[in-house]
Amino acid sequence: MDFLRPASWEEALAAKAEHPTAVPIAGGTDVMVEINFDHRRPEYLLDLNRIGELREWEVGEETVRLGASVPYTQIMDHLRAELPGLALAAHTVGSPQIRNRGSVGGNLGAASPAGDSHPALLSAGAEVEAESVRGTRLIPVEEFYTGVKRNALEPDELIKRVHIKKADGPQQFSKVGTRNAMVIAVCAFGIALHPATRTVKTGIGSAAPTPLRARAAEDFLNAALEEGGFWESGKIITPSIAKQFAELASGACNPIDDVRGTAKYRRHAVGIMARRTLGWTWEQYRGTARTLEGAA
Amino acid sequence: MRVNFTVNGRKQEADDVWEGESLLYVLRERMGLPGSKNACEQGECGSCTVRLDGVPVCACLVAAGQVEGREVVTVEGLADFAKQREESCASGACGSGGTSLQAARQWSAKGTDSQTGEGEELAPIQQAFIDAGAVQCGFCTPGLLVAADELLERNAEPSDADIREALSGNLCRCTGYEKILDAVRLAAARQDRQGSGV
Amino acid sequence: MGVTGTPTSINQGSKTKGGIGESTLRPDGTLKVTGEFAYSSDMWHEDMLWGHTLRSTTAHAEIRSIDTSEALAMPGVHAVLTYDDLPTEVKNYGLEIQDTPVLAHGKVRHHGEPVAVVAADHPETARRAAAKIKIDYAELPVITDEASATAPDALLIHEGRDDHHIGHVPHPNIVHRQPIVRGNADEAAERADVIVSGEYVFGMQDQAFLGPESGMAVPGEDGGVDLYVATQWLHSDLRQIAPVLGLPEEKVRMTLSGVGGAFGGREDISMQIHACLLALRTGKPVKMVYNRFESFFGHVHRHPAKLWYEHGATKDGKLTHMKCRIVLDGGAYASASPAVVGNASSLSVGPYVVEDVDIEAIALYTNNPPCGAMRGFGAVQACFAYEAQMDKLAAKLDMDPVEFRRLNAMEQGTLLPTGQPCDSPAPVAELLRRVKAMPLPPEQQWLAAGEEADVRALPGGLSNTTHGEGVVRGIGYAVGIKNVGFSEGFDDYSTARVRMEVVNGEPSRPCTPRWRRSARAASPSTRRSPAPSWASPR
Repeated sequence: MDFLRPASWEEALAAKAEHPTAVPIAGGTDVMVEINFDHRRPEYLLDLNRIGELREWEVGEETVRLGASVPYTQIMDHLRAELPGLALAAHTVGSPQIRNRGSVGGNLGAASPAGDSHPALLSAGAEVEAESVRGTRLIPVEEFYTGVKRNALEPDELIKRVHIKKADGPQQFSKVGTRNAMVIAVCAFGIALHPATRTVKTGIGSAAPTPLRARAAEDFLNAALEEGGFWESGKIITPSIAKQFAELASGACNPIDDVRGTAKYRRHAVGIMARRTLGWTWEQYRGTARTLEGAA
Repeated sequence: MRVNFTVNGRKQEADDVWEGESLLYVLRERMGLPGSKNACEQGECGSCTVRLDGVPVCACLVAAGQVEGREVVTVEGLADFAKQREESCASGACGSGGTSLQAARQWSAKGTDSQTGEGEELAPIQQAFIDAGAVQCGFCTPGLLVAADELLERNAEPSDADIREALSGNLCRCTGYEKILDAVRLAAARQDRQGSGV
Repeated sequence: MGVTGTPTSINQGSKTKGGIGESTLRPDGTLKVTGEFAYSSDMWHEDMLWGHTLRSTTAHAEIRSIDTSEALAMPGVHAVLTYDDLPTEVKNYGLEIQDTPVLAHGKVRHHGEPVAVVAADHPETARRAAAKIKIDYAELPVITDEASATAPDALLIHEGRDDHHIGHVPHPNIVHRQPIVRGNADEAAERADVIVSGEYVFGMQDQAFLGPESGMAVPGEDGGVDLYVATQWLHSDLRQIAPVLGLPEEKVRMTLSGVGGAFGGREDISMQIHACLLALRTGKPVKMVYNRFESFFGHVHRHPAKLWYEHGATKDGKLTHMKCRIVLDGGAYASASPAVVGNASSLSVGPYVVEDVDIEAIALYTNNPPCGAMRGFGAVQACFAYEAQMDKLAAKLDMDPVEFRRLNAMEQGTLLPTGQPCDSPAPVAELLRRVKAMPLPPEQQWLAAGEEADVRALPGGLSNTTHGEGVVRGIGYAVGIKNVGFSEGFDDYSTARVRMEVVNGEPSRPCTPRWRRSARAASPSTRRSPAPSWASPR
């Protein structure tokens, strides 16, 4: 095993081009477990800790450009207003020690369907900035997950940043686990209201081979909200709409039975989380709407 | 490979390090600092918690090569670390945002006599763990102390929810946690009294 | 949210300094909070080697061949040992029955059974070497439960058993059977107004002590060995270790290292013998440390169980009889299974008065991981079943479940199922009364946190699964019994050493215990000496 310690992003790209099998390591919260337990013996470890820009973020007009190694703790502490869904998700990752090291870049690199940030990224809307010595490309996060623990990166590419849409409305994240801390998701659900475009986007975690959006549920809800004039009136979403939304979210799952839960349970739980998180975000939206009315 | 870093204020060098070794292994097996414990080696139990440039992390999940040039504080250096923090606070050099990297770099450990456990100066959190009966088999204790000390450093009056969250990455199989929570509350209360007395 | 329950002083125990009841601080507390207390995995020696265990990847198989040549040829590898390398005729050990091979011979009986051990100059070298050992397994059918263990054509897990239980079991795949019959349960059942029966399944559990199995063996100049290890029973270990090493007990010098939790899981041997064998073979100190994954193979677990129970009661809430059958899965080796059977049967009634009982408890040999001691073994499995029965009976009688338990609670003088009178206070009814009298927390305690409560105060916590929706509260009470008539006659005792000193004709003040320092100075071969720890039997 060789340990590569690039001092700059350019050096890292060069190293990855020269050694495409090199395994990038930043927080180490996934990679080191595999090494400690002899599950993996990569030829090269590519340490990204010395590259300061990967731990920086930039808040722009439309998006937050989040460095790949920004620890979850920083997202919770500094980006709660811009990325409320991701901040909630970040707070459910492992423990404080893990959140101090783990990052969204690591979640994307590992591409486990159980990664906590995926539902938040999917519902907020995000693009992954992948770079190699050949150049840079932006990959919509929906297209980034290609299979269980597989992603769209080419062997010579590294994740530099994630461009995440700033929240233009309420966002929620919910995760079922066997306990409330230090737990891997049995399944998870993210939702974001986008009043600017009058759309709702979702993200499902750990209930299919890849993280995914519940497109049919989104389409149904978008149409129902538009049709009923809910965005303007801010009136309470009817139980039948919420129920239908939950059922469609449930139907978007393609889960497996495993030690953490059965497929049946996962489908059921995703439906429940979809209904509840829709209720909470809509309450927040109505509250905001009321506040705005009062201010006007 | 060779790795140079600072542990408890002292420059250390490790040679012939296998690239797959963790910071935990290097501390325990190469530097004679086995206080950080090898309980799960997968980031679940927090027994190996150390401060890396001031930040609490699981030493088992940090690759040895990643600590090149960085600062590590382990349980063995906790008492000195807390003392120097207190001294720099007394001189008005500390804010509420924890230890700055700069402060961490200026700090160095004083020699301790490891042949006797008696007469040692303890950090307030260490004393509180003893007084509250929070130590049983003691294997989780070093990690809990480092995590709890960092909590009290950034939050002098933690709520129970704060304490639970800060210690949620540390497992204990003996105590049932109640006395550990007591110990952190006790340390906070003593810190509070001390602060208001000044 | 402010600090709740802030202790400002420690207020336990006696006010008399040095008096009985005084809450004393742990003598090892300071060493433990400074990181200086030496646990078994902290041992270190300048020229030490690392031991590693190769374990079976299958639950039941014949071993056709083992080829260690490639492993031995690796640079940095000092020894690779298999069954054929064992030094003497005694090749098995065991807590109660010597049925466990030091290294597998001819076949493996459970997944994770040690087959070979390696000593090398770095743990990674040892792992890579172990991966080069070639073992040819021929799979055998697996035995996983009572039906497969006692089927007419069942393979015997252990052939040629000659232990002292074999004469009393209905099948050689049963380790031990303990029936207890008192009174006449069938006749008593006729007095019952309600009869409730049920089958209960209890899963395997693990002690998951935090300090993994570990220790160091240092070869002595006299051909003996010094072993530093975390264990619950030094003396029991020694009785098992010395014979397989072919050494007299005085040449196996054991020192208790710091114990990182045990909970029953360190009653049995883990790495002790392997480390000694490697140290004696290589002439160098050998350190072995299991990782968390290996630790689950390294010690016994709590027995999974299937329990069938029948209870009867009269309309006024008095138990008439109890019948039960408890089947414990002991796994591939006996460990403490006979004692677990003893506890399960003798404590199967729970802390209740039942005159007429018909009890049978057995432990099986299967190809599952071996099971043995874990906090309250045998008693816990039974408690799960009889307490479920108590709730069912109370419901059927339309009685309060705590009141029903109080009506049947045992007390001093009550006869245990074996007919042994309980000769000490057993205030079960009073205990139940006090627990029932305790105030309950508010049913929706998160409401107290108010509208602006952070997500941690809500019932879904950080996982944010609910803000109260769908949350209901259940309240249950249960009571259990353990360590009374323990393990069919295992003496529980405690001892204390009192030292009195007279200085100038006056009793001297209590002084700092001196044993800590002397114990720390007693083991020069480790960089920091282990202090005594507080392992206690069971």
